[in-house]
Amino acid sequence: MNARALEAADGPTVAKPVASTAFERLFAAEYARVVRIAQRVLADAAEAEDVAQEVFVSFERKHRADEQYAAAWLHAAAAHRALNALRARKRRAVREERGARVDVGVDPHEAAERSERRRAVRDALRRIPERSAAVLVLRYSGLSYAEVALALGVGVGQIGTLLRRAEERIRKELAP
Amino acid sequence: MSHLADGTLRRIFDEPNAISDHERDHLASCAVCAARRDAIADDARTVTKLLDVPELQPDASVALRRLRAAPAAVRFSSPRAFRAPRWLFAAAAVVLVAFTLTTTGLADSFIKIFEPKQFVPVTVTQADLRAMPDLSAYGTMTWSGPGAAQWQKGGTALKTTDVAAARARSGLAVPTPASLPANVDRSSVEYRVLDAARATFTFDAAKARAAAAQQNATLPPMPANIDGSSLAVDVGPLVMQLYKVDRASGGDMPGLVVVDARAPVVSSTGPSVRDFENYLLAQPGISPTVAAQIRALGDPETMLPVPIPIDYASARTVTVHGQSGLLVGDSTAVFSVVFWREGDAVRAVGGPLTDAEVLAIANSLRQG
Repeated sequence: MNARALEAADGPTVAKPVASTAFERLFAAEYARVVRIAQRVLADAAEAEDVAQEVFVSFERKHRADEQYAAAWLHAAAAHRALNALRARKRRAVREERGARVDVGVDPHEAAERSERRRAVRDALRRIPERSAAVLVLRYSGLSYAEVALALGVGVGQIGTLLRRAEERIRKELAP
Repeated sequence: MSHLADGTLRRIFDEPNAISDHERDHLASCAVCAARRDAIADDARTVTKLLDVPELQPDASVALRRLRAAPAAVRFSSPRAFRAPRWLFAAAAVVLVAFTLTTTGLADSFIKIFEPKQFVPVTVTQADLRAMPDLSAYGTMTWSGPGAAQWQKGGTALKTTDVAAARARSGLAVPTPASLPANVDRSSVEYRVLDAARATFTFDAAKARAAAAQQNATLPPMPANIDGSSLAVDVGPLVMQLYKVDRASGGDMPGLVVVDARAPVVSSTGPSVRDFENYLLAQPGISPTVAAQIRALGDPETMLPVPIPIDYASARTVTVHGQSGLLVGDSTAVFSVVFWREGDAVRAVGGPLTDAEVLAIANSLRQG
């Protein structure tokens, strides 16, 4: 199941009937993980929750909550929407790391270093191919290889290779 | 047994039980693979630190209440209007409408006002799109010409699998792609032809005021030279080639579309582009950011603003068949499209493909 493509499949079609109970169960089961995927990309709690809201609204408008692909769709959509939001943030030159409030109480020097590192990583995530960025954020958000494979619509046997290449790419981007 | 692949060694770091017994035995006896495994594991630990972010404990019940509390218009209308294919079609319409010929086709009372030489992306946000005024309330649109009903109601003059028939009906060259990605089914091609038509929009200050009053809004006064004036857009003939794209999801996205059209002509009974620009940018709902971007473009008669939703796509200038074109999309294969002008034709290639794929298809188009 290529959840990425499904996420895009929102043409002028009529929304399907929504089984609200099933949707609420899906929401309860997956919301935290969707937020964490977005947070892995954005490093901004508020922005991550906004992305998660958009993801679920988009899903509910178009899909049935009891579809087998529901979770994979949500995971893929969270990664891609968050990466889009990251690029948009760059284009709008919005100040990075609005989530700095989570560092309150931390040594200022350490907080500054951490903030700088996060900014550099976000820049690198923008620059590397989207597929590489997606595999990184999905895996490092705690998804299993099988779950990452479902979200990206590839075989589970490919994930190790994709992940390894993605790690090499981001390390290269961040090399001094 | 040959050495283990990097991907296998990487998986061992995360899921050590996922490998076969043969692979495990090899790893136990191969110093080369063991060293590679250790290096890969070191890299993975480094990336773990790099991608570290503050842990969140979001409250799903609060978030669900927030989602349910959002107004329906916001939850459904806005994101829907913002979907990639929909806005891309809107952007395509802007581009098509703004392309012009330099000479024929204008009624005596109309003068050509647009001849864009350059596409300039103007980024818009979701809020910008949501707030856009409904310009159809500012006057009356009428259609004329042989293809009027087709353009107005979404019909076609001809649907065929025969390119010669499409060329004969339209009088267009209808170039076809010499190469297509493996997931595009060449045998599925269908040609849809639309005849030429003219859309005429006549501005009406009284109608605009009445529409605004219904919304409890007040519009800036319509300048006297715009009230009663008309904009005409001559469109078509146009041929769309449609190809099915095989995607694992079997989703309901449209397939690959290749458009060949006579370049549309935009003309006016009086006001200039600058007159329209000044008036339209002063309307409530046009964000200052968007207005500033458009005003900053310089000469409005040669620079065409193309709306690009900031969260969903990027645009860049490319060369297609030696001509300057605009490529919108990215490497995600959600949807990409490229537009360009070639002679007196405007052409486009779009579909659920990567930006590189649509550009390659565009450059492979051949006539005859």
